[in-house]
Amino acid sequence: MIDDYIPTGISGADKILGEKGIPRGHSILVAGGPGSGKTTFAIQFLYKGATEYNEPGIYISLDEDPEEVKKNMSKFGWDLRKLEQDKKLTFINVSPVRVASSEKTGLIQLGMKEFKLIKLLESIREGIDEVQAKRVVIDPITIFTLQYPEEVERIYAMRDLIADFRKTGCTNLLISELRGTGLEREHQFEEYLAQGVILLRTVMKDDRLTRMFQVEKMRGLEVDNQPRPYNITNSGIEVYPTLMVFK
Amino acid sequence: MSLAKIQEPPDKGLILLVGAPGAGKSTFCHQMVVKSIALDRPVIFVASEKSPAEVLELLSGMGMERPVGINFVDAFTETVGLTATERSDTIYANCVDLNSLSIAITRQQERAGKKGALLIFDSLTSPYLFSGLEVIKFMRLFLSRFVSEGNSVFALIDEGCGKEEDLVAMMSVADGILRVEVKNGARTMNVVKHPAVSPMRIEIPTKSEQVETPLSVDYRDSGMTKRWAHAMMMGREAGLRGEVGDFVNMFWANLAHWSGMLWDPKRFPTTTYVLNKEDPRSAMRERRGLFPWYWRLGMKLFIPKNFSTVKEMKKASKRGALYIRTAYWEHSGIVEYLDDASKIDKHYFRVYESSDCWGMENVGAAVASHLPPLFAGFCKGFEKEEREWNAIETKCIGLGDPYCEFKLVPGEIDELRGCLEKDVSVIENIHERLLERLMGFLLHGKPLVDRPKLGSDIQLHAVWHAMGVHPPAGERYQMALRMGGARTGKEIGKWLLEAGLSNDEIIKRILDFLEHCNVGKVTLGETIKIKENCESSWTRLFTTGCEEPSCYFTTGFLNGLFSSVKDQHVREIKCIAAEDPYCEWEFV
Repeated sequence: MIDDYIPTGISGADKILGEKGIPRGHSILVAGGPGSGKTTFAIQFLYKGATEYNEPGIYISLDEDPEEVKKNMSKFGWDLRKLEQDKKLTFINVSPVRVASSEKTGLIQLGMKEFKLIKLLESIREGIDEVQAKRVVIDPITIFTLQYPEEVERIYAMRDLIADFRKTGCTNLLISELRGTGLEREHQFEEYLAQGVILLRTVMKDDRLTRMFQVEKMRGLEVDNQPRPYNITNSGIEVYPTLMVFK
Repeated sequence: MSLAKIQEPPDKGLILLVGAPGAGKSTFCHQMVVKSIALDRPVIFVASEKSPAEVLELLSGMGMERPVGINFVDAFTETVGLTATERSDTIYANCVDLNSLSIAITRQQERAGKKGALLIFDSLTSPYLFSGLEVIKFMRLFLSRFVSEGNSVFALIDEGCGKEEDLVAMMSVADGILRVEVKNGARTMNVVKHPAVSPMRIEIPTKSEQVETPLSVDYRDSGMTKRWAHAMMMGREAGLRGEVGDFVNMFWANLAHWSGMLWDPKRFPTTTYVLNKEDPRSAMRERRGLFPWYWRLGMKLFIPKNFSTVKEMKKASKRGALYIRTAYWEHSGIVEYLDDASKIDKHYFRVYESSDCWGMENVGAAVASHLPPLFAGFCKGFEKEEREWNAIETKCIGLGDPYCEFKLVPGEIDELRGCLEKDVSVIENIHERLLERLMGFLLHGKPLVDRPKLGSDIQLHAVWHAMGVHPPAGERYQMALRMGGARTGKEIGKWLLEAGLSNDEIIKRILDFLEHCNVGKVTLGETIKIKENCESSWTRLFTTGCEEPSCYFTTGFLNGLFSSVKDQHVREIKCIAAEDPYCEWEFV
């Protein structure tokens, strides 16, 4: 029986999550298409955790430069640098694709080969120790799984990662690219492994983009599985838990 | 049954107004918006046919200069590809996307923060054209839900813009259906079904009721003129109201006047002027026969046929003719003719302790609203050739003078309009001053009025002239009084809450204040009753035989007060003006 939940702090989302939030320590896959607000969702989760629920967090970037993320997120009025200074949030860049400038060749890529599960786990542990983290985000997990070309290997790596998270007690969001836009899509193996799946979907109608928030699965919690409209407003993501999605 | 009844904002339910383009659907719903705001019900206006700015302009043409309590969902600007500008009362949506509409409406609902909102959808045609039958799903799953949360929806749809069966499907979702039919230029409102009204057909008048200068004053209770004249001759203080007497604290009348001004600073003062002038004119002409014989004899013997010369005016003034004696008896002011300053066809009068202006020291404008036009009306009515007399204040307590003076001349006065119409800042200032005075009374027992000679009270007739002559003034003017009343009641309720008084204590103090002002005899039970309410006691003169309750200011004031203090609304169900024994308001 789970009796410990952490509110996401995302307006409307907690109502969908049975007015409770995410079960503590669970790994939740947050999947969405390009421009669906996955990173915003993840940072809002960390920001609200650190500022409203006294839960420090780690943002592990596998793709985008954390500085860029901080800059992009400042438009929502979230002062992430201040949280870093206060040791409530830390950004870790473990991107396997390092970009460095070189006088001769312009941009070169570094470090592709040595990036594996162990390295990622090490970074997570270091981060947790640094800020006493309770919330972790890996953005995007897709880069990590791509390191394992063999599917079996990929599944094992993912399972080990989730098992290791369990031990830390941290609640974590694994951000993933959603393959296929619109309502038709492929299921990804991560969805079976994670304890919860949140979908951020976008549908185009004429020239208008409709955004849908859906909790596809949340182990240990009665949730509303209906897709609900959401918006990216100037104060972050807002989900409308009572509204239906119209075509 | 009148059109007005179905224009009342519905308490709940989804009402659909169907009609061909140009049948007058939007005008109909704008009138409903005005009424809803007057009732202090929040309005969410979804504008898909024109921008909110255009809607506001149309509303201002109906007397709502700066409406409070209306929030917009602009589903026009983005839909047609214009650039949206930031407006604090507006959330943008796109007719193409029903989700954006439901989100915007939900956000406005959260902003309004209370139930009982009226959602106006003008119109559903655009979303229907983009989304087809998905709109029916939207009506069922979103609008019906919105209704079930204690709100109401009034949605317009164009007939003939889609398939007939789709329209039928939409109508099947609605709780009420109104259909405007146009045939040979005549319009009929067909009430197909309605939660509050049984099915019927109502002819819609072709011409708007709003006339620029309403002059057709319909006097219905002839006995009142006699009773009033008699009470004055006998010096009686209770000729019309047996229990509480005929005198009312002038503060109440002034509060009504300046609250109404807030809503319609342009038309309100000019209409007041025109009607205040018309009333004595018609009294001296068409209604002359209604006065007691000794009055008529006195008029014949002592009143000159022409007021041009100073000599004649002086003679008439000495006898207290025109309105001098009446003004004194009614406590409107002590009027003196200034023969030294006057010339042929240019007369000056001084007024001490004018009930319109006392307490308005240095507000930066001349504020007398009833004595000058009454004098002008009397001159016009008395004179054989019925010249168009006019009067304008030249000195006023409001301008910092120790007394008021006005100039009375036959013919037009160019500056008159400018003098009557006030700057919004002046009106706001006066309104605030009145509210502060009221707070002083309610919290510390300070006097509302401190006139040394005439005291605080004025006669019912003067109350009515000061408040504005509202029954014949037309709907727009009545609405201004009602909305002004609502704002005043709401503000005073809010101030008292901020001062730390409990809800019940506030209501008690306000009802005591009404009694103190001698507004009437007030009782609060399951309903509010006011016996001999001053507002309707005099307006019976015009409203006898009417079905509509007519206490516009009192209703607005009580509504505003109860909504801010107790989150309740009131509706007038009985009214002396409609020949009920007392005025009564139920809680809704």
